[in-house]
Amino acid sequence: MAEPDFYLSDEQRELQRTLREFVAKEITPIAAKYDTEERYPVELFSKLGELGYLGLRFPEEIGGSGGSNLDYAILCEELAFGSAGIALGVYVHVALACAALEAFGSESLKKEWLPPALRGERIGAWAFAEAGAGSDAGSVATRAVVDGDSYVINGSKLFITNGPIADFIIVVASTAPEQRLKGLSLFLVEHDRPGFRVASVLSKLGVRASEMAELVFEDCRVPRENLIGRQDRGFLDALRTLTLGRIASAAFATGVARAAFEATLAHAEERVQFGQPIGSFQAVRFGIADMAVQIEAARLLCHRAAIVADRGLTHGREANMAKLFATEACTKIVERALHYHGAAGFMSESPIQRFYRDCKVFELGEGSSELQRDMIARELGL
Amino acid sequence: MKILVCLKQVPHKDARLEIGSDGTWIKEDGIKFEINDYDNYALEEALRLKDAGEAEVVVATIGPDRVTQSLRTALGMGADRAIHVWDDSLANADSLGIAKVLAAVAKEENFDVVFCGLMSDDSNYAMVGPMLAQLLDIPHVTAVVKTDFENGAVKVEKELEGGTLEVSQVPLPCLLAVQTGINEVRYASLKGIMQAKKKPLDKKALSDIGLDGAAVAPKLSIEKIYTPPKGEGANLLSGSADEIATQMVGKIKELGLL
Repeated sequence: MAEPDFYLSDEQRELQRTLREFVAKEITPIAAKYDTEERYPVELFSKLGELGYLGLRFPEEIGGSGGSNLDYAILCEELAFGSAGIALGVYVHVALACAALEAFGSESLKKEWLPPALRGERIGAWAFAEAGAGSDAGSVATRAVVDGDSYVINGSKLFITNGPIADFIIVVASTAPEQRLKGLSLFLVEHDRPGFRVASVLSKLGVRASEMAELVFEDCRVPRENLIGRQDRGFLDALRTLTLGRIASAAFATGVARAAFEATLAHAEERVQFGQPIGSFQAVRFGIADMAVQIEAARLLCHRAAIVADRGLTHGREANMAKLFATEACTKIVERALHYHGAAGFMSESPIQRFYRDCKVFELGEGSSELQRDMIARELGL
Repeated sequence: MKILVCLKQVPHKDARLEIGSDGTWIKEDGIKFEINDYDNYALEEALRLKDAGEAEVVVATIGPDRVTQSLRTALGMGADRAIHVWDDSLANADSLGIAKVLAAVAKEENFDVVFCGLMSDDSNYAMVGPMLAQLLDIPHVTAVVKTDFENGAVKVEKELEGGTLEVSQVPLPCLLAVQTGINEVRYASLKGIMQAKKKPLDKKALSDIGLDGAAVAPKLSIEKIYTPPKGEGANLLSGSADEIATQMVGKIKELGLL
């Protein structure tokens, strides 16, 4: 089947082709193992870094490779096709930790951390969520207080992807609690900084190849230079700048859905019941046709948002729609994939059960479906 | 050192193949193509020489417009420039016709080494390499599994039957037809992909290299391709899993594969 990819440049097609090859050889074969062991294959960071893929969208002067949002959407879909967990670890490292550092960090911090981070030799995490702060960002309770030439950070962070493996963590802490959202600042905390510790490693339903932790900061003293961006405004600035999350989520969902779809298509041709492949039965044929349509629509919405962003235009509406549609479509597609696989898909050794566990996270993270709907309705004037 | 790598674009290994209406080849519409796997290893071997020192790597291929994509892939992996030859009269070319075109390309420049894959994934003739060496009047080795370049010559290990290796010392210029697995083929880096479009890709017609349709007219034509009928030639093993495994190992040994 020819891809309806008329809008991709030759380089983007080549990027997609190379990534498919990379994922088929380096990620798909290890996806089940790391999912089972709840461990991240950290050596993948340096493999991706060496090839310049971690540097996508970063300027060449600091070790980046340039590139567009659409390139980035292609990367996300292909990584998630191999493993949603592995893709998530890469995303948090580059699109949150490194991107915040690049956009707002001081020259000396950037020089010290970004080149090795983009080579995959140093891993980053983004520590925002807390027990009492998720969609309600203003409720962040972690405090950073000025003390001489330092900030002293106290508090704990929950559900932090890459927490157990990170060399540096970009921490969201309140420097002006009474101002809530307008009092949140960003700090770079090195993993060996006294007062910082990984309190517990968390076990998850899905995306288990990504490692998640609860992080604790107890009188953790960081030099003033570790403040990233403006004091009190760092987080809001980051929210306005780091807008790729929803596009990335849509691309991840498209990748997982495509993996489930391809497995189901092959299964429908191979699995014989009542003397014929199950793909010849109308119930299955129609279901698989619907999957194909949903995946194409999800990818097109996602790529449209990326293209609008690449043109420097406001793309909030497009990104919300892409994220909402692709993540919900993915959950539906994976559910059908498991259904058509029957007992075989329910077995631990089947990748289908992994997709089934992985897909839900995309509807939760980067703004739940409800938040997306709310923002879309607001755009419509309601 | 100047190196020529001969590439062939073949149907993608995951492509669904159907036989065309005239029954002599597959339907090429709507399927994906990729670089012949053997040729990837040949290209990698050349790129390693480039990485080790001063070498220019030129890739050449013959085929319709679609093959430029494979040349761009090779340029993205690190080749310096590409040559694309096409003429409609080459549509049914046989191995000798292809070898003549590649020889004409090679004669335009003085290559120290010509690399090609041992055979192609689609037609499996394994003839182009040796024919090309003959036309260029240079020595060649096929099924190459190791190379060691030193002082204007190359020490080559060639794979023989049953795991035996043959070692030979070959003076340059020479042609090496590479076996798969000789190296680990690299992925194109993002930078490589972005730079590929800026690298030279010369399109040549037969007349540009001193040939014409008559000179490459095929002496061999395919009468028919077909899928072997099901149910013939299969040897069904029976018994417990252990018994089947033992029988299978016996059969593999019998065939000299172990």
